[in-house]
Amino acid sequence: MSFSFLDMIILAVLCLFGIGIYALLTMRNLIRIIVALQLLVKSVILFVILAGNITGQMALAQSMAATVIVADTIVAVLGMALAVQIKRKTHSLDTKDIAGLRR
Amino acid sequence: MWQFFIVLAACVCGLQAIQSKKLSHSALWLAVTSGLVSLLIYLLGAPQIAVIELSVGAGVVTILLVFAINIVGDEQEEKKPLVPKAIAILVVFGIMILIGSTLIPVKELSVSISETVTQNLSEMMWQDRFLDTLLQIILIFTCVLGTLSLMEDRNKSKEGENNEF
Repeated sequence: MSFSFLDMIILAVLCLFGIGIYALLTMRNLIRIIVALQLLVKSVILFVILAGNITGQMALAQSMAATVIVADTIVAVLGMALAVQIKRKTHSLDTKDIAGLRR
Repeated sequence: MWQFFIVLAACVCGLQAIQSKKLSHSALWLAVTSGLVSLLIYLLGAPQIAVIELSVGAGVVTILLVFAINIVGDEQEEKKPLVPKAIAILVVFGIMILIGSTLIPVKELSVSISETVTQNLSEMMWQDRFLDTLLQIILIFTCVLGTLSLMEDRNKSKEGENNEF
């Protein structure tokens, strides 16, 4: 049984996606949640490029991947800015403490 | 076969990014993962996106992460996870099996080189998807302005105003 390159890419997509979901489910630190989101998005970008490679529409896949990268970076930067402000206000990065911001 | 080692290294670095005790180490492992993913993207035949991913994922995001970690502190207390780890692992395996069963048949769609759509990336971005590109530029400016206003230290700016009077 031999693995082709595309099989390996699918393996990478699955592993990175799994790691990202696991971190999102178990982590409570805001910065770690941003790291988990980054891992998730990397797997998605890899899959978009793989889909372009398979269907022969690389230009469309690349432009889609560029959009995903821009959106992901914006989410990460805004998330970090929010984390800094939450740390200043609550002196914690725990997601459970953020519930106190409602009061 | 050597590509397998890149895939393995990317997965191990991704795992280290969420497992390492210090947040700054996490940021560095994430940067290495990003570099390896961009290498895989390059091998898939998308050099432009590989370069963008390398400069944005391993460059900008890592610098901003390290900057944010410097402000908020690198200490991290061990706390009980929101979802028990055993349940999280079960959920992850369920999701991986579900996605895997969807992804693996996709390979059958593989088209021959003669059927490939030969279109330039710049042509696609600046002609076919011009509106999307414009929206992305606006989003980037919005993000910069939003981040500047969020990062501003309100207490310091208030102190500054008081000192003026």
